[in-house]
Amino acid sequence: MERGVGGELSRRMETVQNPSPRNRRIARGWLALLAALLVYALLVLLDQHLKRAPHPGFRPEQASCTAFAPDAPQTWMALKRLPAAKTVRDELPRWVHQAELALRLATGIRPEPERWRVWLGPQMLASIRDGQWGVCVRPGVLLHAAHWANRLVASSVDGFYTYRGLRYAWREGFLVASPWPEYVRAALQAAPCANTGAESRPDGVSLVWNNPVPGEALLVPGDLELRGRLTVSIPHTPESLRLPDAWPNDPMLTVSMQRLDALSPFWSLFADTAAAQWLERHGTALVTAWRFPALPDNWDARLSEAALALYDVDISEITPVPECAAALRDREAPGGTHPLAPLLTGDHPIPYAWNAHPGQILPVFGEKCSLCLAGDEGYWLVTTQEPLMGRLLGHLSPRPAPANTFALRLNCKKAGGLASNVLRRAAALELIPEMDPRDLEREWLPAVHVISQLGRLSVDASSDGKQVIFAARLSEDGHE
Amino acid sequence: MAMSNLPPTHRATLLPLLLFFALGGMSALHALDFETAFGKPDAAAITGNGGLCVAVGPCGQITSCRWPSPGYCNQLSCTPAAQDKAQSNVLGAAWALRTADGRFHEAAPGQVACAAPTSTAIEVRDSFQDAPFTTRQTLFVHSSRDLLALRLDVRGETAPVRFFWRADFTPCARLLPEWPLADWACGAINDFAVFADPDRKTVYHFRPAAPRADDWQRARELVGRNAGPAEWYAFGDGVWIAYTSPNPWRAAYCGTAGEPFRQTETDSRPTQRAAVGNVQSALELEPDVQAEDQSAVLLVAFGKNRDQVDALLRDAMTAGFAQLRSETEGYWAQWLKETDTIHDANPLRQRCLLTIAQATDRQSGAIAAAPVSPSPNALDFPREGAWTTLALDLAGYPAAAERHLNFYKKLVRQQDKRGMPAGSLPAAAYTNGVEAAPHLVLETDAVAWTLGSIWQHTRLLKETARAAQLNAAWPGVEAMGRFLSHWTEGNAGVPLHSFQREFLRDRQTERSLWTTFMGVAAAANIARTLGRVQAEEWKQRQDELESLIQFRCLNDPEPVRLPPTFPFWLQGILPKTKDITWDIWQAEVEVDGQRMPLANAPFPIDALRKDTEARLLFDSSAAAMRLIAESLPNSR
Repeated sequence: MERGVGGELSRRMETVQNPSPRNRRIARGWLALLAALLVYALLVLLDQHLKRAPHPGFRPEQASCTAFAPDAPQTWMALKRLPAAKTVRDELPRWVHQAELALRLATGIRPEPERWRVWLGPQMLASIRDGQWGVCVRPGVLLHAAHWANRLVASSVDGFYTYRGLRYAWREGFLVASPWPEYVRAALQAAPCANTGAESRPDGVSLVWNNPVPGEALLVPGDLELRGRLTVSIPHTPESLRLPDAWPNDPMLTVSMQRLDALSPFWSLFADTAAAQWLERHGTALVTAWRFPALPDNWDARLSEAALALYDVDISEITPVPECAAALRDREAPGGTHPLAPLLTGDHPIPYAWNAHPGQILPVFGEKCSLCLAGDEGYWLVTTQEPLMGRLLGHLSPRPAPANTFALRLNCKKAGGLASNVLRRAAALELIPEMDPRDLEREWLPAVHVISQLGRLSVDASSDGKQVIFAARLSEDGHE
Repeated sequence: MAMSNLPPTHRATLLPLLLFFALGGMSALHALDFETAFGKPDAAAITGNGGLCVAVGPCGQITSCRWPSPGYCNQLSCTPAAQDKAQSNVLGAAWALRTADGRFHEAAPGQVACAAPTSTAIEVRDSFQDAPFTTRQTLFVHSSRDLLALRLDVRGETAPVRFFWRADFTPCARLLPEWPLADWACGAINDFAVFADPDRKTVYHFRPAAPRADDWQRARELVGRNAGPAEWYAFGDGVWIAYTSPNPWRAAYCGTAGEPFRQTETDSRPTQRAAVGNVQSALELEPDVQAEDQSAVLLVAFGKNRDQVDALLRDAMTAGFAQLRSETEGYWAQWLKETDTIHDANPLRQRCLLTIAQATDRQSGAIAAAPVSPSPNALDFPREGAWTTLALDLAGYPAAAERHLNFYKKLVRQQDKRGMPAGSLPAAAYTNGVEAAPHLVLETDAVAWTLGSIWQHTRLLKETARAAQLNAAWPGVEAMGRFLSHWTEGNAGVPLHSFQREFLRDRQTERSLWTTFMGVAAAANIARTLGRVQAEEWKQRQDELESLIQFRCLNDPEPVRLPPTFPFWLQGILPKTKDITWDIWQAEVEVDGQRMPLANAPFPIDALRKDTEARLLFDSSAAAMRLIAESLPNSR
């Protein structure tokens, strides 16, 4: 027996000390695996080290707009999970495919969040300056290796490398890329980006801009929210707006403001556009021809809030006719004359009454476009059609809104429906270049349908005298 | 009737009436000018045949080609008249010349006139910048074919002159209901393609009906591979414009906006023989040379497909310029002879009649006010068209007047819609009957003038014919009369607000009150003549309106402000009486600084002659007023 156990033992010792070729191969395999695992672990550690960024990155000084995502793939995943994203994929498969293809052709990377993370790292800094855009990322091992491979086939020009139409360069482990070499050069010369906004979230995108009004914001796709601040001085009032959600029958669009000139700092956004200049030229001539009397200078002295509502647009005939209303909140006791009554003094308005509320109607362009004036318990109403006044007078439900300066509500479903109908009419009249109604159904209306599915957009803005803090959110259809 | 004698309750009711008259009257002083709103017409004369109507500008350039009706789209791109004439001379289509010294001569202001009083041909003399020679351009639209023939003669230049013809056609195949802007404001999206066929020596501009994205793509592909003309022909029906010349070709230029014109100016060789998008074309021709005279002829055909334009050009080339002109002039001379019942061969009358005839749609009988650019001129406005109908009646053309009235009768709205009550009319219409003003514009004056026009026309007929015509017109009259008589504010009886052009919105004005009165009086006349039950109701409304006017006249010392031609019109509706009680004819008006009763206000013959002189060759409304002025006994 000793001989049997000892023999077995010695046989095994002999096997270990003199392994057979087969055993040698097995052992080599395990060693290779261990080595590979070790290398892999080292590479992972190296990759993580490379991707760990001390700051957001580099972008040109004086960039007009900067966006920073601490974890772009996570933000991307949050976007993909939104119901709207599914709608986009379902309604616009060709657009989505073209966008993905364009991204893949430009970068060589299949556009998926985890591939982005593997190749380019988690964070991304993008900016625009003088019409040129670029991005800055903190890539890991793979892209460093790809760069070395690219260096074998392409040489640098002025310190930049080229890859598929993009110019790129490295600085302190960051990769700066742009179609324009001037952008890349400016980014390399700039200090590290320090200002990406006061707020930051791993699943959000921080935005900072200079024009036309300096501001910053945080976009959180998962919460369907954009919140931020604008550096613009608008007089502060402690009282909340009360009209944003006061309208019955769910208008398509409402805009409320504490003062009628609340938006004047933003006029410069549009003042130089062709549309604004056309409006100024022809609108001025039209208003002059109408010859309404001028309102007195202090006509709005008693008003503490003004709101506009667009209920519908009648497109039963060729000329679209909006159905609008305006509400003016009077800070003084009910009674007195309608603030817009002086407009009617040059004409002969028709006395009218809605639900025992007296008022006046002045036709401007027939019964579809009139000035209907009436008042109700601290609010003055103006509508463009008599039946609308009947639906509104006595039915407003003012309540405090989370804003004291400006608020907007948009019913995307109604707006999308209107846009679809108007576009169909325009296509039928050959007003859309190179497109007939069938082309429109195929090319553009799916995009409009996507907008219709967005639910309700709410924007609330409050001023503290030095800045305006705003929040915009999308919610499901129906009141919040 | 002084206010102080009225009871207080009446004063309270009548005070707003005074205010209405006072403010309505005052505000009419500063009327908005149509030309200020849309721009001056860029035309000096027209030539047409009731289908194709071509306008010529002061520089001899073609500024509009309206087809297939004088009131249809302008098939030529021509922006509204530039303040600087030098800018407008290359718009539209025009000849250009290059002399042997290399200088390029473009169109400049010249002398535009009709070739003869009974001819629709236009002659333009000496219309080239700094030219060392004289030129004469002759152009006309054939009387029965949609063909434009042009000839340019250069005299006094022995060295060869290079002739170019350059065109910016923008075929337009659709009208925009309610907005006459389809050609004027949407020129950039109206065009489609141009190509040259060297074998046929023809250049084609075309746009298929309702082109799709695939059509555009296919057209671009044809341009990209320089496809032959046969592949272009496959596009099918739409608007096709083709031009050719009996003169030998030197070169044909096709390209996108600006390129062909630039190539001819810089003496470059053509680079393309087809183009897609906002396109232009040009042709260089070898002139006929006879001693010091050099000339070239161009023929332009309009049709809905290639076969049509080819057939027109083929026949025209066979006939030749001289024969085509002879046929056209013979046609119009015969037309004047056969239908001019007055037979006085007055050149001015003939000129006015020809302008009106060329502005008349040969299918519908509609008459475009001025078939020129900008487009709002080329509409039929019932308010002004009533005078054109009267002019035709007074000139001895009752059949043409009847056709025009029939066009208006078809415009009467039969069903109530919001903002468009039954019995109302659009303020303007395309010559094919499509409404051309936004439906929000409710102009009661259009209804009143149409009712007045029906009465004016039928009262000039013999009694038997009158009854038949009135009976035929009755359904429309009944609807219009009901609308106009019920368009009232109720208590005060003042007509409700309606669109006023001078204010570009709804208002109540004194002029509109008078016009409503005139229209209701005409309706009452018609109903009474036919023995209809509405006669009494409408007469009652007529009396109410007359009372309102009387109230104003007796309580406001200012004279009534009415258009100076209005009293003449009213005479045809309401006979003057010699009653001692007050009637409408005693209202005081101001004529040339003098106050007088309405009954004595003369027709402003001299003012009309002065106002209409410059527009007789292209404006049918001006021609109509002038025709009336010349038809009156005291005009001679």
